[in-house]
Amino acid sequence: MSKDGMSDRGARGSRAPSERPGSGATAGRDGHARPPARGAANGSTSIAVPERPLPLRAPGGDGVHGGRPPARPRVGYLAERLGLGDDAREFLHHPVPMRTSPLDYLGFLTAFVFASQIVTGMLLATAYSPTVTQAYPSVRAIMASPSGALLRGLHAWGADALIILAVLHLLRVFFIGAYKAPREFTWVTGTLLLSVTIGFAFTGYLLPWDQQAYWATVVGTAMAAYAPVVGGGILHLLRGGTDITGATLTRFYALHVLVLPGLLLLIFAAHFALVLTHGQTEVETRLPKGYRAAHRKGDTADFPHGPYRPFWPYTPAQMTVAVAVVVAILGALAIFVRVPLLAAADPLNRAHYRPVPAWYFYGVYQFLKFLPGRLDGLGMVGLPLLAAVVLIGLPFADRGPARAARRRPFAIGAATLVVIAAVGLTYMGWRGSRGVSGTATVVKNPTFAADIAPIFSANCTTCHGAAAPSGGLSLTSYAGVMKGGRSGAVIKPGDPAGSLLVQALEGRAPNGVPPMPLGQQPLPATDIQTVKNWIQGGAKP
Amino acid sequence: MPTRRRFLLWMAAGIWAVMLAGYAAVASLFLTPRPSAAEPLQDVGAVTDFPSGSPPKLVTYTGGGVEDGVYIAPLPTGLVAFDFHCTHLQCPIQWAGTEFACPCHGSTFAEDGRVLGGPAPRPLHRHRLVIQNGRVRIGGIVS
Ligand code: FES
Repeated sequence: MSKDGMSDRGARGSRAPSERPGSGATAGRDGHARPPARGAANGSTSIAVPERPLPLRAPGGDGVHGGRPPARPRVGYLAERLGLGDDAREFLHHPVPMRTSPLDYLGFLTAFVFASQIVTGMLLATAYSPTVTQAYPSVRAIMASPSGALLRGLHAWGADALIILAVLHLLRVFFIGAYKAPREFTWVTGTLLLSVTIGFAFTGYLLPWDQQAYWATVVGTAMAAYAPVVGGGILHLLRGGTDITGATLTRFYALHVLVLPGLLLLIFAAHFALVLTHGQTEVETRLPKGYRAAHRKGDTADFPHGPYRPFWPYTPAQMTVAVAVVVAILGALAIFVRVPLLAAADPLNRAHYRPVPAWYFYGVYQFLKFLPGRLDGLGMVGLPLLAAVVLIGLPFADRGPARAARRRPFAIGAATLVVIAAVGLTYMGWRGSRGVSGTATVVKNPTFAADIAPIFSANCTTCHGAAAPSGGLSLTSYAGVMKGGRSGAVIKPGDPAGSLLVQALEGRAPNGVPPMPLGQQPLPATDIQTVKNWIQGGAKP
Repeated sequence: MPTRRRFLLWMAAGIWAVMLAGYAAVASLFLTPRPSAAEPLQDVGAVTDFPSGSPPKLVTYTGGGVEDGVYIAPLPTGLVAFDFHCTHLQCPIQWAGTEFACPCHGSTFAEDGRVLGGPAPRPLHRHRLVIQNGRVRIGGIVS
């Protein structure tokens, strides 16, 4: 099919003379002699889904709402001047399936949150100053007023919501097979919108110019350098120099408020036009409650339009409810969960802040931990590139006509695996970024295996555990712990205060050994006490 | 007739291509930062501040509107300025008594910048270092 069911059927049926020439012409070219309805080809339903009817209030006045004089329908003042009359009416009354799912509205919700981002972003831009010296103080000032804090909260949480909604929308479209012909370009523009969204998130992250923003951007942009040949150039171009400086901030600001919004609106216009052209994909098996039974009895008086009803007012009402839910969640988050603003960015990192990526990078980071260092480039550049190629190429590679999930076992299975892996990795990365502690309470007589090893493996072995452990000290085994490192033994059995390990944990080690864990909050006092008790008791295996 | 049409078409396409290329060229010229080796030199102290045998020392200066830093290491071969960003993903490294350590994924580097362990793919970057009249002056990254 080159067009969706609606216009195919429209072309077959008797259309009012007011029909848009475009749609008629397209369908007319190839739109004759088709098998009745898609539902008929669908093995599992015994009853065929009837054809989608014409606009449910046909010009002529016998529609569901009735009451229209059979003469030429009255066209509103504005509609006439804007040249929308019949089109608008046809649109408002176009048939939609009676049975809907909240998931149908994910695309609309994404668009709504975008609109919200535009409004909150414009407001924030009236108070934000994109220079190295003023960026942080201006965000501070915004946060100082309740309305400012609320706005920034809405904008920051909105950014997260946007990524989540866009990805859910993409998954939904994938799982119901809605990307297939004739909607290939709707899908392609959608994936482009997703990448613009990520661009927004990435550039927006730097703007508060606090430690988190600064170092996440240092690390995030550094990943680009792993691209073969062009990597260094891209990095240089993105940053406007070798380091993240005022030049970077200005660049990111220009991208965030000028370049990306322009791109977004262009692509969105195309995406939306395509959605209007092709309509929503019908999920074949979805019939309203009681429809089957009524159909079997041959008494479908309750369903004058088959399993359809007019778009207006049902769909807008449901959309409104969906939007209200999202707004309520965003509002609650913005009011009750304060978006952190850490200390001002310190490119020298005197306070030894340990960079944490933005949450949507957790998965990639976790994945990198499983790769040997040599393959880092593959994970950081190859994987995202592969994902982009697969996503954009999908509708052109997968051209089977089947939409139902059970008839696309391979595609659905593969996608499910990818989703599970991505969610799992993100979760693991999130856990890992929080530095989980080994014990919650002090253990009186700890043993190495049960009490000490878990503390080390949760906090220390990322560095003190590899093939070439930091400082020559490996904390993965009892033998390694007792052997010590290049600074000598770290455990003096029976003498916790004199043990280098305890001194480092307490931040008072001599000879330039820094406080441990490096660049992170000290361990909880309970954990340190447990370690001390273990050393006091002779540091036995 | 067809030849004339084709000519007009190609001419229009050509003019558009030239104009677009012009915009693209100006944009890329404008956006490409100057090479880091051309960054102006910055004074970071006297040669005597870095006696041989002492551990690498972090010195700071202002570049591009933000504070920047390098580790100056008095190696047997002379003073060397190391960039203080890890060569893995550029987390800030720190001198940890016997070696440079990175808090992000545990890369470690020797006093002379060699990779000792971890995922870092190459030795620490070095900055241009010039000694003039007993003063140490630092420039952009050169290796
Ligand atoms: S950034 Fe230093 S080890 Fe990854």
